[in-house]
Amino acid sequence: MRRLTAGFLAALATLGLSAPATCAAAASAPFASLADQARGLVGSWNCQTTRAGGLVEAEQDRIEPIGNGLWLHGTARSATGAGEPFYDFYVGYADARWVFIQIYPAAKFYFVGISDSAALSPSSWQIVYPTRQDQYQFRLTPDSFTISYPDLTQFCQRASTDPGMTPPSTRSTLSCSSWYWGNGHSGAVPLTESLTISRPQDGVAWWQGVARNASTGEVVYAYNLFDLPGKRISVLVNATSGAYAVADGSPSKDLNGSVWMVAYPRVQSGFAFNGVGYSTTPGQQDLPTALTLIFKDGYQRCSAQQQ
Amino acid sequence: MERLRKVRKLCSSGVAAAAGLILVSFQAGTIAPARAGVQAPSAGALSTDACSTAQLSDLMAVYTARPAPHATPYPLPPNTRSYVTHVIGARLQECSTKLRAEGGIAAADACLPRDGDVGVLWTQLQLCDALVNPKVPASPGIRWQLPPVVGSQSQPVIFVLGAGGDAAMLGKLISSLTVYLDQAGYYLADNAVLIPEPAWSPDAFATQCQSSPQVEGAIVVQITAAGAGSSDLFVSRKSWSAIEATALYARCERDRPAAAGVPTYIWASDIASAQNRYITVTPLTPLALLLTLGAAYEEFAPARTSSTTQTHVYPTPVPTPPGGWISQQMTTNATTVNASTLGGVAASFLASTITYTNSTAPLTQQPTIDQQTWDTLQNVALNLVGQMNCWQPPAKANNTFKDVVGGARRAPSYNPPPGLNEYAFGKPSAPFCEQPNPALDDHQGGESIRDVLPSPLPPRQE
Repeated sequence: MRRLTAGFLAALATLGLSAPATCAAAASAPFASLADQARGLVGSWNCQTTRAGGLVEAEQDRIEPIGNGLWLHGTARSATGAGEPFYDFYVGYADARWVFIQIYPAAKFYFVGISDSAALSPSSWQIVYPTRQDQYQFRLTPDSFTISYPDLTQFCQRASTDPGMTPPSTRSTLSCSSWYWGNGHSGAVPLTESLTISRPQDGVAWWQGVARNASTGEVVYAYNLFDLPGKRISVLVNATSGAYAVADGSPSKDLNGSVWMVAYPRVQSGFAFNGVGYSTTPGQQDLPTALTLIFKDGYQRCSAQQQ
Repeated sequence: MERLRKVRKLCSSGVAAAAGLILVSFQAGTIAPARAGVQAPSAGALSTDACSTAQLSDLMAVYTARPAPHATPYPLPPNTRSYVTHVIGARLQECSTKLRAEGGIAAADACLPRDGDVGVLWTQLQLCDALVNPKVPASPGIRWQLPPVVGSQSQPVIFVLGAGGDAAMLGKLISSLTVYLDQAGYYLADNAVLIPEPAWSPDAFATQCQSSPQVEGAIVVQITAAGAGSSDLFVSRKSWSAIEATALYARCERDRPAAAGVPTYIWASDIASAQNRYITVTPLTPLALLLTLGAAYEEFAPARTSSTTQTHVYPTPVPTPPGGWISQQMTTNATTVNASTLGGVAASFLASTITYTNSTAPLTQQPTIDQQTWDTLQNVALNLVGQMNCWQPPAKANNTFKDVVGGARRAPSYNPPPGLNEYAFGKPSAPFCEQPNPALDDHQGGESIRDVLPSPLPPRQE
């Protein structure tokens, strides 16, 4: 729960060294400076975690931009190529603060951390959801950074080689059309999205979706869906608008008819799945071949067939 | 110096008492206040980055003064009007920016400087200053500013309080309601937390609503009726108690997050009723039972008197004493079985036994409440929770509520609202409960499909 992604913090450290002027900016920092900070995180990182008992773990992180650059997606993979660590994270700027969302389904936890500074090299972050925790700090040094907890220390530096991504074990690609009403719009949205759903890790109830503008290829939104004891969690990041949401859903294996509640950053009614089709049996092991997402002001219909 | 002389003349004429001591010097675009005959404590440019009337009141008093017999404002040096217009306009712009950031779009538009007349702008700035920096009356109460449980914003709070009725019962009802709503893990509006305040009246909440921006609302419970009775059986007592109550929700409404709140009742439950029947065994002690049975027997048996006479004969003395002698003595012993006495003793034992196990009149024992009422109030609270119909996270479904007295109670099941496929029937939740209902309209919140669409949206498709 308290393990802040090493690669992410390594990138923070780099930014803190490379862009001190932008780090001093106020909450209303210009977009360019925020985007520059985010871009500075992109790359590969080698990290070491030393536990209090002397155990040393190595991991390789990779951070890539999604959308227009204010949101990033990071993957942490074992340096040995298998087993732990195996988690993902998002970093982005929204609501005048930096947001960090770590997703670790294999360890059955996730958290949202924020920093109220406009600078991406803060001295302190706090975990604000699902349980508050603000007792961790990290320190910058001229050529590295260190993050310290009572029982472990993480140390990261930029890698010279790209560890690459673990290829997803299964993949499903759907074509999505949207209908939206409100704010002067009514009816179909003239945008077709290509939604790619994959399973990052075998044996773990976890799948990821990335929707791209079918014309431009730009990522519109990305999300994760994973199971925790007693419930299912959805983390969605809209790379173009900066909106993000953590939602709780039913633990039922079949998504069809399930309704979801947005639990963070604001508790509110969420969305519902409808018309979910599977090729064999419903569940995390079988990615949907069709689905409809229902919101209060519209819906999005995705299927394996062109619409 | 000419300007100074003019202002001194203005002061000496006794006009514009409010500005009598203020001398205004306009130099190179700055306004520096100075006292006549007194060194000004500081001088500097008027700020243009604050939504405030500060520093301007005295200036405007001079500016707007119309000394008799003049019908028009006193003539001002050149450039003064444009400078003051610039200062006030910039401050209004700042007011508008702040109001917009706080979500008050209409108020923000109203505070945009639209008129070039200084007097109109000044009036507008006074109004907008009051909007941005409301003068909240000093409250005798303690404000709420709890650290957030989730997120980083101030923690909203919802109070649970009572209105009228028996204080002890209200306290238990408020406590049970709060515990149940907490235990069920309901999602409350804006991640609010519940604070039981059994000693508060709705007026106390209204004060808090006005003075504390963290106050989200209040659940107000009222006990509308309560009664109890009992009937005695041979070795038991049957007692009952019944309580009826309602709950209201008052939302603390604000047109902006920082504005003083106005409480408004926006939801009311039906009357929730619950009753409990207890049969209390009144065990008789063996002695009391024996005595009672004996007394009952003696009541019908005739009174009996046993009498025994014993004659003791003494021998005759020789010679006979002059005063005579006692030849014999008779002693009579009589015993009477008295039924009424035995009955009294039995009644005394019996009465003490009854008193020891008595549980009648539970509603009259102040200030605490008895077990039966305690139990009944839990049922009332459960009934009210059911009427609130808050959505539960799946992991919390089928929870049971527990209390120190009484059995575990199953949490009321969630009845989904209408509007979504199989959820075609149902009922809405109380307004302080958040529920996953994508069919809500725009005014009720809920996630927008824009979260999965690009921003800005593509042009409308005809």
